[in-house]
Amino acid sequence: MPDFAVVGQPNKGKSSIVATLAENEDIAISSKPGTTRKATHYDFSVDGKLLYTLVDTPGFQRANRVLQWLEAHVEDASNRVDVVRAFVAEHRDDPKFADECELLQPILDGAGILYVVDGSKPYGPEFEVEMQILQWTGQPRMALINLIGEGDYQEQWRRALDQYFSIVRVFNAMLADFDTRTNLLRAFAELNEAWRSDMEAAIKALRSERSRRLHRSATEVADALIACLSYTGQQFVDEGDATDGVAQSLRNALLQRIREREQRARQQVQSIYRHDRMRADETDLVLLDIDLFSEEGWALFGLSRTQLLITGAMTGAVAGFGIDALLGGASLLLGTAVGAAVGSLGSWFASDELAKTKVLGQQLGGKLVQVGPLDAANFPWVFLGRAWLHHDLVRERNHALRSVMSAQMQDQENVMDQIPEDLRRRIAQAIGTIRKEGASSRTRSQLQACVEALFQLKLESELAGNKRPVYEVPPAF
Amino acid sequence: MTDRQPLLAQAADIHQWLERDSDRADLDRLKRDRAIGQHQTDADPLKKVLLWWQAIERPASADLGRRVLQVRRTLSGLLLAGGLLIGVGVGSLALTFEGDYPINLLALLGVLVLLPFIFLLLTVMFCLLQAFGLNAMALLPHWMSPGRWTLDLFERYAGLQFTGFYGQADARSRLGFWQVVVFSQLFGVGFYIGAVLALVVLVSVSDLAFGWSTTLAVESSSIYSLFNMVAFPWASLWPAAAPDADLVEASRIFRLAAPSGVEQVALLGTWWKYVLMSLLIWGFLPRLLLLLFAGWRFKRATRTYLLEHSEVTALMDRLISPVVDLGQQSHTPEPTEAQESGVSDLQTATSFADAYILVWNGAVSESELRTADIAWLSASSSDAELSSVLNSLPTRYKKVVVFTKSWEPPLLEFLDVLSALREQVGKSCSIAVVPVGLESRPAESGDVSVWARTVAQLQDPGTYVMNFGGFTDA
Ligand SMILES: Nc1nc2c(ncn2[C@@H]2O[C@H](COP(=O)(O)OP(=O)(O)O)[C@@H](O)[C@H]2O)c(=O)[nH]1
Ligand SMILES: [Mg+2]
Repeated sequence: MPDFAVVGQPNKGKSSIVATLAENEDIAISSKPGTTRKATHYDFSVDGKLLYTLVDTPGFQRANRVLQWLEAHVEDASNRVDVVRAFVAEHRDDPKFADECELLQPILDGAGILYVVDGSKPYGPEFEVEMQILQWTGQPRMALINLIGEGDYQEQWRRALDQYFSIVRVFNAMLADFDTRTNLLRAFAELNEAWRSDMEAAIKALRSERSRRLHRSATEVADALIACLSYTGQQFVDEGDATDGVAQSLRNALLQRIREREQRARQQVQSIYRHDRMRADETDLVLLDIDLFSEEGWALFGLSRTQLLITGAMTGAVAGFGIDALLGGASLLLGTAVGAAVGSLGSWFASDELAKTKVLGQQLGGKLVQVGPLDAANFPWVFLGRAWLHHDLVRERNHALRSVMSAQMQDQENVMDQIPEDLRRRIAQAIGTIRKEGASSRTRSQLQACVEALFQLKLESELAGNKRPVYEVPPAF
Repeated sequence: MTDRQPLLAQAADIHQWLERDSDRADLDRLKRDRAIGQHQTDADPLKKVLLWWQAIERPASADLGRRVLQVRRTLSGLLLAGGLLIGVGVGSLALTFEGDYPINLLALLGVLVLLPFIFLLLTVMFCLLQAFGLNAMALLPHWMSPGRWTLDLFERYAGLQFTGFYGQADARSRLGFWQVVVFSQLFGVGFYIGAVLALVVLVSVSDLAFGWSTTLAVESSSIYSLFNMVAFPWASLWPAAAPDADLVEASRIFRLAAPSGVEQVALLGTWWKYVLMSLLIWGFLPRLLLLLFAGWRFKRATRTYLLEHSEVTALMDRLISPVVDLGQQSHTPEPTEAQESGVSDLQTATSFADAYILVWNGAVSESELRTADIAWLSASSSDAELSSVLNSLPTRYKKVVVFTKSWEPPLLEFLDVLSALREQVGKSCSIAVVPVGLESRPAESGDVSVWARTVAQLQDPGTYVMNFGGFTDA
């Protein structure tokens, strides 16, 4: 089993790289140098079978002293690694070289070396000291150029690193996407032929894990949507009493229940992607924080009237909940006409159109007021659009990132515009059936498959500065 | 768990437990459940889930399932008993209603067999509707079935919900529907047991006489064929319980002519076998069959009910998915970020004329410094170089300025140099560490504060960090 020791000076992003590769949001990452004090092992295993281990180490602090000691104790060039071993043996309990011993030990135990530098800062000859020490160990070596700041000194670094390392790669700990990560693992395998099969197995496991997560997330979201479509609120009132106030509070409770269910689905998706600690307060999702039942949310994530009509007519879904509900809601939800309709839309959200109120006579002298289930035609689309965006952000978020998650949409983009016609029809069909008949195992897996297909699509958006999608709420809202 | 609970109870418990468990991190659940699932060889999802349920560590109290069972048992018992009582009541009333006259078979069978049979056919029709994908439960009015009422009670006291807006296709609705049929047929079965009991008791302790009469002008032969049709299932097995033409002819009763004579009464009494068989074959048996059928469907629906829960789907996935652990297990608490020490209160150095200059790691280039007294040191300088620089330090300076690269973190080896420098210059000389930005620009404040914090670790008031204000004076 290969081990890889991530070494380098403090503050070059060693812990960040380990956090991203090990998908560990608990690893301490800090701008304060010397945050990592102990070598920590992160085992990659599949069903308990260990495939490789990453070792996060403290940085070099007194590289020059170490090298001078090594040079003073070497007898001939062939036993250099023994001299390094002797150094560690002699200084194991010396607090002066605690960090050096921590980082050299795994290498002496056979770990491959991942030397991390910051390519956004200029190269300096002082770095050669530690490169030499690493060379003394004779272990397979690879250099990773991390880019922490704005600058770009990659060429300088490459010239220097090429002399000491067999492979030099750029790897941005914060922005690396999935393919970049697996490519890096493949490069690890190139360091030593004997490591290849384990690394290939690890990459394969990562790939199937990725599709498992996608599948699970899609299932969670589909189930949440199905649940939301079945929610109702009921309350008994006395025969003579007015029902309006009761209906209003029932509606509010219904909407709240749906919001909470959406929130729970998000939490599940985050947990599936190992972002458990990223709680709601850690997200600054301009878009996703928009209330589920708000004008701008519906304009951004819902279908336009034309789309609704087309999909509705195509699937016969219109008949299911009435042309009234379809137009009553949809006509106010045009991407272009929202500006004009904002006032009336607001009242629409509080009205009966979202979820019908029924008053059922009861025999015991009272009556039953029932609100729901939600029958607004656009609701499932809004729900799915939001879930799509959320999933997209969570899936591509690296575990080294400790900032809040943010999303902004540019211009008048509508998320649903990006769904291919054919998928849109399949979704409409599944939802239509579920609304009419409830979710059988067949329709349930149909919807799940649709959501999965949706999540596989990459949300296209203008990328601003950053490599990840940035969405901005149009100023019109 | 040794006691194998019925599936419905287990389903309720499993759902409840999994819902409560859903707050745990997905990876923890995956590891836990996969450890169990990895060794399961059975491919049947239900068996997998039940085996998992046996293996999982959980608090022993499984209240919900027990309560569901208890409520269901109580309600079933009440229905059966209620049916029985009503059966006894209706039966004995119908058998004694006529007083001295013989009991009119047509009315008796109409009340005890035909009318309930119509309800039975309606129930079967609803079952067919359900089978063809219509929402039978929504169509089924409460008044039509005691089972429908009982389901409301079941939901209320067991804390489960079947009749929400799930739609017919939903496993919960299907389970609810078959529960309604089971409940109502329990009532029906109880009813016929009661009716048969009433008949048997009354036959034993009194002399019942049966006859038939109608206002319509009907030939007794056609009435005979009607009776015969009813009796066809058992006619060949128990001929004594099937009427013959003579008996039918003899049993015609006219109000004006009450039967008389012991013989005739005894003859009319023989009908009881026929009545008994009618009750058993057309009343009791179909209901028993429907009860068994609905019970079987209920069991199947319970299976889907258990499995088609989003948490159970997720569990199934966890049982069969390999745990890909990227090394998340170690949990090091994030250090609380130390308070940024203020950079603004640091002095800004703009003039370096009066100070001896030491450049660390080439933080500034030679061309920018016009002073004569400069020394150059770096992280790769040897001990000899270091001591020669220190030893040749002129003694006239009251201040040494050390330029460093602000963007690199201060390392311990730099602190070593500062300590050595302090030894060399003595206590009265001040040492100012000046982090310089890229290309001799002022440093970023975040970087400077990192240097300030590190240098402060030396606890030497004469050694401090200054902001770099640029080479203005030179
Ligand atoms: N923008 C950016 N910042 C990074 C990146 N990698 C590390 N950092 C930051 O650099 C600092 C040091 O990172 P850390 O991983 O703790 O470095 P270590 O001391 O080498 O383990 C932290 O403040 C990180 O947020 C990166 O790829 N991009
Ligand atoms: Mg670190």
